[in-house]
Amino acid sequence: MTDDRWKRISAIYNDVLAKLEAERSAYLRLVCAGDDLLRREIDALVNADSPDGRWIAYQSNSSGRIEVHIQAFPPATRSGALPKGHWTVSSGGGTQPKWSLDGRELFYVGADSMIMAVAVHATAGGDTLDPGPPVPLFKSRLARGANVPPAAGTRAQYAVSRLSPAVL
Amino acid sequence: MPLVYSELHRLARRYMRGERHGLTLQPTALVNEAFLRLVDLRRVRWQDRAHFLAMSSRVMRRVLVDVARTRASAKRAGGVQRVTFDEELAAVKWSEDLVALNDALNRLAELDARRSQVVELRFFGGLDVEETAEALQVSTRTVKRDWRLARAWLVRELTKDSRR
Repeated sequence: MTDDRWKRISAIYNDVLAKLEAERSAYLRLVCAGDDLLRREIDALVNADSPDGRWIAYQSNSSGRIEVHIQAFPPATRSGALPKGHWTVSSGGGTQPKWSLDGRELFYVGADSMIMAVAVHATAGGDTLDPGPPVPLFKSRLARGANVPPAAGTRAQYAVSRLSPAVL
Repeated sequence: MPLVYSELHRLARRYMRGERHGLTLQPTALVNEAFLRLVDLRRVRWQDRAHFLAMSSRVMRRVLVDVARTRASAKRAGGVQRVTFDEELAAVKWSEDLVALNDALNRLAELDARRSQVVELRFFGGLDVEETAEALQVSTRTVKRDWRLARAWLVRELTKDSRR
C-alpha cells in the first residue's frame, strides 16, 4: 500500500465514523465511485470492530476458502496479554462480516448470497466468545466473491440497520 | 529516578496481571531490565510525564518482544520446559503472535507513525485512552479512532489473504 493510498483510506475512514449510520453508505458510494477496491477496503476496516471494541471480524482464505473469522484483538487493552481467541464463524464460505449494533450478532454473506447471522456471546468474564451456528436470514442479490466487482443486477454491499441487515 | 522506577513498575504490573499464558518474566525483572535499558538510552531526557509514558512503552515493547522472540526460538530448538504440554503450546503461540504483531506494527509505522504509536502506547505500554491522548498531545476522540483503525488494519495485515 502506498502512502497516498493509505492517507486517502484513513481520511475517508475518519469521515465515515463521524457520520450517522444512515448516511454512511451514500457517502461511501460518492467518495469511492469507480473504485470498488477502495470501497471494499474501507468497508472492511469500518465494519471490523465489534461495538464493544474487543473483537475484530474479518474474512480470510487461510483455510483455503474465504470464511468469516472473529479474532480477539488486540489482546485486552490494559492488561496487554494476548488471549487466545480466534473463531471461524462461517462454514461453506463467508464474506463481508458486519456486527449488529448491540454486538450480539455477526452478519455475513454466505454461499448463494444468503445473508447469514451468528449469535455471539461473550462468556463469563468476557475473555472468550461462544459463537453459535450460522443461521440463514434471507437471500440477497449481493455479488458473492469479495474481490470481484458485482455483476449486473447485483449489489456490492449491504448495511446493518438498527433492526436488521438490509441490502443497499 | 525513583519516580521513573515506580512508574515503570506500575506499568509492568499492569501488564503482567493479564498475562495468562506462562510468560515467565516477573514484573520486577521486567522493570529492572526496562530500567537498565532506559538508563542506557543516554539521549533520553525526562521532560515530562507524557514523554516518559511514550518512552517506557517503547521499552516495554522491546523487552517483551525480545522475550517472545527468545522463547519462540527456544521452542524451535526444543529447549523450553513447561509444566504441561498445553501450557507450553499456549506460551509459544503467545510468543509467536507477539513477534508477528510487532512486525506488523513496524509496517504500520512506515505508513502511519501516529496510529502505530497509539498501538504501542495502548498495547505495549498498557496506557488508557486518556493517557495515550496526553502522551501524543491529541484528543481522546482521535485516539479512539486511531486505535480502532489500527486494530482493524493490523488484523487484516496478520491474516492477509494469500491470493490478494
